[in-house]
Amino acid sequence: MSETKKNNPSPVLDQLIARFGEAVQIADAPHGDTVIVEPTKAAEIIGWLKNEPGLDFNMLMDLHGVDYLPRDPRFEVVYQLYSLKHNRRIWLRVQLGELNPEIESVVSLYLGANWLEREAWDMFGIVFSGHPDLRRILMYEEFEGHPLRRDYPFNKRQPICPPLTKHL
Amino acid sequence: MSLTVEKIERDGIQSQSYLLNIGPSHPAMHGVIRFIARMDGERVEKIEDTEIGYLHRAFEKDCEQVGWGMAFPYTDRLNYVSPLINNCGYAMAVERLLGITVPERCEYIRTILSEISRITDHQTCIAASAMELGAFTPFIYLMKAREYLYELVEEVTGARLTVSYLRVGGVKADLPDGWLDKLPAVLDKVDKVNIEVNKLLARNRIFIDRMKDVGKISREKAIAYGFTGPLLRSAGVDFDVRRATPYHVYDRLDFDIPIGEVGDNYDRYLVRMEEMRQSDRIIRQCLGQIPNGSVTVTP
Repeated sequence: MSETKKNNPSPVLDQLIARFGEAVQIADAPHGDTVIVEPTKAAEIIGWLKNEPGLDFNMLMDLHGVDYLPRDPRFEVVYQLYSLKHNRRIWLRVQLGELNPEIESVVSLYLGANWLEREAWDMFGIVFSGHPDLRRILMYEEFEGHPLRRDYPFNKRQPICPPLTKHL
Repeated sequence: MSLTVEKIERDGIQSQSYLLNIGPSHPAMHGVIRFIARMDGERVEKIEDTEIGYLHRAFEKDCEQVGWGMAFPYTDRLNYVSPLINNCGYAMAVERLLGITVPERCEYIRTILSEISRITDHQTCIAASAMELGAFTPFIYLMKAREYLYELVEEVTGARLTVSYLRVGGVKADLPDGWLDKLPAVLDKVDKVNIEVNKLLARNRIFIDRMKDVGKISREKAIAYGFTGPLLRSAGVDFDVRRATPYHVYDRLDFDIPIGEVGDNYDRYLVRMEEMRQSDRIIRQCLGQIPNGSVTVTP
């Protein structure tokens, strides 16, 4: 991957690579420590970052989907973790394919992931397996499709109440 | 979500809980949201479900249709009582991606306006929560004081709420002549009102009865849910992003971070009140430090 490059990895990244090896790749990012992790390992790595003494990434600051259409793999889920104790942030990016994008939920690690994962499901159609209540959060139940996907037309409308057909 | 009837027993009396639908549109709400509340008498035991999407306007989708510089009006509308802070957050994100450092005068202007916005935001929050408890006087007082600040904001940006004042790499225009000189007098007026409102509320029996031990969030829960800002601090966590990872010129300013103890509504009130005092302090320090010069990057 062209964007993957090593420049002065921080101690956290060194530890991550020593522990998980091939499943973690360092990505270059202007905001700070960022890694691309294997989808099947993501939840395990996040759990390790949270619980490993000396790392203590005890806050999930953000979790969101990204659609990189027409790239393959198309989708990404980005986790931003923060350690209150060490005042340190880390970004994890997980790449998911176009067909059945699915990843393990982290609700059991961070309560705040519940609504964030529901939002990523609602907006991008990314499935979080093991989520206790994965349903739409912003759109209504009857809504079809996932509006933040790049191929969802900007001006498409799905009114839940049909428009009036005659003047009253 | 469970919508079944649950048995309750208290003081030897058998009863059952009931479900109450609140919203999406309700006179006590400042927006649209729907709750299904499980009630034990007049006490909310639990919120069984929350629907938050009624105000979803798909800003991200709109922003994708326009250029980087044209997203500012959308950021105004994320929180219309503190639009300048939202402008700042977006501008800083784009600037970091582009590797731009903005001039020092611009950083000071952003700091001053961010802190003014923090005061207007906290005033609105305290005013509305007091009004919901029936205390209408503090609401009117605080709205009056907020207007003093909005007048300042309007002189700088041309609008009270939909400011769109920031640009990627700077701000729209320099401050008007003499604006900084009249700032301390306005801050004095605002501070006077805040002190007056604090006298009306902080030791008011009705206010305390209805704020203390209501909406309590423990320190552990606040962290697990990823709370930030005054909500997190009121739960007893010493975290302020202005101190932890300073942006603008916060590393050159002296201010205290108020922390709550039990994380109830009353602690949140106290934290917000103190934060306004600290914002006042920050702005006055900026007045002594702000340099002359350009307010945008020059290509």
